[in-house]
Amino acid sequence: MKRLLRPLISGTTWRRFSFLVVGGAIFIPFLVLYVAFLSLFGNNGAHHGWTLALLIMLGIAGFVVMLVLAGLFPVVRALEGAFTKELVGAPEVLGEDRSWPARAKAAAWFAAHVITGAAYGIACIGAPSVAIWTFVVPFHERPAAERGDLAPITNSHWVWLLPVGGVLLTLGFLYGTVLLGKIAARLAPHALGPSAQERIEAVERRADALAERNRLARELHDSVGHALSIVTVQASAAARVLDQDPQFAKQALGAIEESARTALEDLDHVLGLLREEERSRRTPQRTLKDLDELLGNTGLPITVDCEGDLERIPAAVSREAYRIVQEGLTNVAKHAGHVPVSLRLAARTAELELDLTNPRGPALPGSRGLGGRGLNGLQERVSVLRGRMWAGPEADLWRVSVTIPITRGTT
Amino acid sequence: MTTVMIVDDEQLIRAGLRAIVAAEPDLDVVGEAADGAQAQSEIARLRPDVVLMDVRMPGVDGIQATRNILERQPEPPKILVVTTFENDDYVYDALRAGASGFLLKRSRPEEILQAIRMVVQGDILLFPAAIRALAAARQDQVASAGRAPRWHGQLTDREAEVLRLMSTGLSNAEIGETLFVSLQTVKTHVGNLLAKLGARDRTQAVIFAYESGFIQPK
Repeated sequence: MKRLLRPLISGTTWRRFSFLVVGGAIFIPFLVLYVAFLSLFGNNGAHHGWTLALLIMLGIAGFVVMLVLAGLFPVVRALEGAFTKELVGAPEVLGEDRSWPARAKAAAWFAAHVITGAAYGIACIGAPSVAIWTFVVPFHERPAAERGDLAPITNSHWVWLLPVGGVLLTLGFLYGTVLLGKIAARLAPHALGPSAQERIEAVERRADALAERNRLARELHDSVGHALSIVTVQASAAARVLDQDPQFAKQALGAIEESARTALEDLDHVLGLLREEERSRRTPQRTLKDLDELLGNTGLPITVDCEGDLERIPAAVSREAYRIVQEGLTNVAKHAGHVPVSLRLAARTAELELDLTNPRGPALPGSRGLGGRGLNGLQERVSVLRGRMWAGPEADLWRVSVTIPITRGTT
Repeated sequence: MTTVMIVDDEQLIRAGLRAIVAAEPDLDVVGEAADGAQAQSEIARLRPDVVLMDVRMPGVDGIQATRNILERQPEPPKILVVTTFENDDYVYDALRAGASGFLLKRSRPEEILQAIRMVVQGDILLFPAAIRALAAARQDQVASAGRAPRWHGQLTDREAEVLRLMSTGLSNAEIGETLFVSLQTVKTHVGNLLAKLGARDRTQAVIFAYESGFIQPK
């Protein structure tokens, strides 16, 4: 019983009710406009039978066409989307796709809304009136011989069944409202929601943002967290042994100073990444096509060896490859200094191979772990693309070697 | 005299911890190691009572090293995992692997020293609140489905009670006072329940209790 009643008293149903009524309200100005438009063609009023039926059908079709044309306008689509989202409760997110198929779907939705709304509006006025009438008639003083089509009923005992019909009609109307609302909620996401393409893009954006956040968290963890741990441990040790071992205390102060300085440098780097991220959100992401510019900017002597057609590499793989080269070159500059670098890119049928080698420089002070951090981030991204990555020393070279499969559909 | 060994890949952390620990008359630093592999051989050679073990190290990390030491070594040392951050997944893994407790690198020297002394005594759970938080976070990540392990039905009411009190960080003596039983009785209960759970110490027992849903961390 409760389950039967709940839809009738739920706010959702009545919000959807107003959605239907709004459709009916929109119908009226369109109808006025359409009638005015039709009157331009004059009216000789002499049609009968088939001709009349044909004309009426044509007229209705014309009306629908007008509604659909109106629905194609982006502004109408936006308004209709807002109505639907607010009153029907769906779709949760409005699509912003401006392609023709998406607009056509929205236009069909708009036309269906207006026409259903009009029919519903009529039912809305009609059903209660008829229901009330069924309750009044049995008690009405009737002249002995009432005329009209309903006379056989209104003049017999069957008249007492009329209120039952009225109750059924009211119930039908109410549950019809619930049902229409549910149908609207079910269909709205298809008509106005984000397209598959938009959903994929949203998921990709979220994954990117998450990867970026993880990267920053790791950067902070490994750099600033590490340095501050040293500062804390060394400072508490120094304070404890100050009297017995002033020499240790002195060394500790030096270590604290050095660690704090490194932490600040790292923080600077991480904050730089945050700013960079903000910028990169506004500018399109770079791919291997922008490689020449990148290589020119480093100032390192680089030999490049490209095999195969790099142009046909999917964008995601190309972006990743660009980042790997970028990160790799940054690491070279940071750890090995100004040394010759050799870069090999090969686009095979099923995968992209990337090899970056440079002679290992003298270990620069304070460089501990820095390479590892950037490499971890790359490793994670490469594994997302189901690729493999290897980085490490090889004889007196440092090599970063990456293979990323090229699959169709990776955009 | 309690012998301590320090394992950390950062020399400055080792030196700091050594200075703090070595200044105590009842504690002695017998060795250091810079990674998990070195730690294993040094521990086998020096047989310390307590090991301060960094979690993240190149090569064999602290978790793997803890596991190896506890598996391979007869009468292994108590292992205290040392970490930079509290909400570190690795800490939980290390505790699961059998580490007796964990320490934050930002802990005050007194806390570090107290933790070492407590872990040697072995009758109290270190940082019960933090362990509960770690278990709760874990529970969110992994759906705690699966069947309850067999030991759920095998604990006596008293043992279950002792396990719950243990998880709040009470010592054996305190548990005895709460339950109005002697210290010896508590010790017997603890011994029995550790055996039933197959746990090495109270830390592991409490972790098993959280993981199997025997105690709700939240």
